[in-house]
Amino acid sequence: MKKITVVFLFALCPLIPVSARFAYGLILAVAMCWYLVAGILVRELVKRLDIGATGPTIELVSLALSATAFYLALSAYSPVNSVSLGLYIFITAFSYLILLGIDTFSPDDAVAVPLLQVVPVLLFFSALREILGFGTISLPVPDGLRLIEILPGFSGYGLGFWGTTGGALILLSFLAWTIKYLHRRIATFRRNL
Amino acid sequence: MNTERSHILKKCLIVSLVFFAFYLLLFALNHVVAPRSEAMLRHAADEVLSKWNVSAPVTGERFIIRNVGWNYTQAYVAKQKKRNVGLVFIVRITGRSGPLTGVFYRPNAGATVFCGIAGMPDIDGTRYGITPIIVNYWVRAIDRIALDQERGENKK
Repeated sequence: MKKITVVFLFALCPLIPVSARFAYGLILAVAMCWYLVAGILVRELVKRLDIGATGPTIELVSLALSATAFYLALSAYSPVNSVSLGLYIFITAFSYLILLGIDTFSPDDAVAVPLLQVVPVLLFFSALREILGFGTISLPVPDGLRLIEILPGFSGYGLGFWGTTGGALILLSFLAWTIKYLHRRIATFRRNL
Repeated sequence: MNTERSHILKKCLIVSLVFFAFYLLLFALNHVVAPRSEAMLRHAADEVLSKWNVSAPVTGERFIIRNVGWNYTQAYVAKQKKRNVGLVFIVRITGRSGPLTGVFYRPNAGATVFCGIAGMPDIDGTRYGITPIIVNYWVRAIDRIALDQERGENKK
């Protein structure tokens, strides 16, 4: 696939409003990992049952189940965060599906590599946005979010713009450019060896 | 019944059983989680209400509003001295810096009021990117839903 970065970013798009807080990024990263683990288990089950063409349908239904189960688990741990993130938990399942099919355009022959790349990117991106925007790092706790001050005074006089969706898009494009630039440099270096 | 048909039937049965198992699993999980989740959510809303106004009501039993979006399902009866004085809505509001949980109070007589943000150290929404325009949007939306609900009840 030629435009892999574009699809990679497209999969991240729904997560832009959410990644303003590290706590949300962490929850969604855990959600992605959970979908992957559940997906591997269901795929193994489907293989053992040998149900042929119905297999992918069961996998898709199980993805919806995994998302709902994760939402319920989050509701049990931190209901306030489950209200804040409710819809995004299910959007993450959609992003997961895009990331799985990024190389093949099909969930049938899924490869988990882009997914494993997006998890650290999501964590780094949300941490960066929160530190730049609010000067804090948040963690999910049962009562909501616990804010740990990293840069004193930033919450009042910081660069709040980086915490907004507009700031996120600029940061994301800068991140995409950096990744692409590094890929090119590495490719050139390898060619010259 | 030939072997092929019996094989297809067997597959259908397996798929149905898998779906049924999924359904049972979710049902059981929801049954376990819902009461705890609701209690914690009500506690968070009560905290916001008490910080917003010392004479604010507290959340009572769940109030089910039919035919509205998922975002409006967390509605509770507002109680003050054991009287129903309105409704409390716990709604996801997406501000300039991502989604947060907002608490709104709609008194029986009067318009909806934004009380604050739940789950954050400060209930003031402006600190977290919730602008007055965003608040007004949700106030109007809740007013509309509550009015529709009242009209529906009056028709009955």
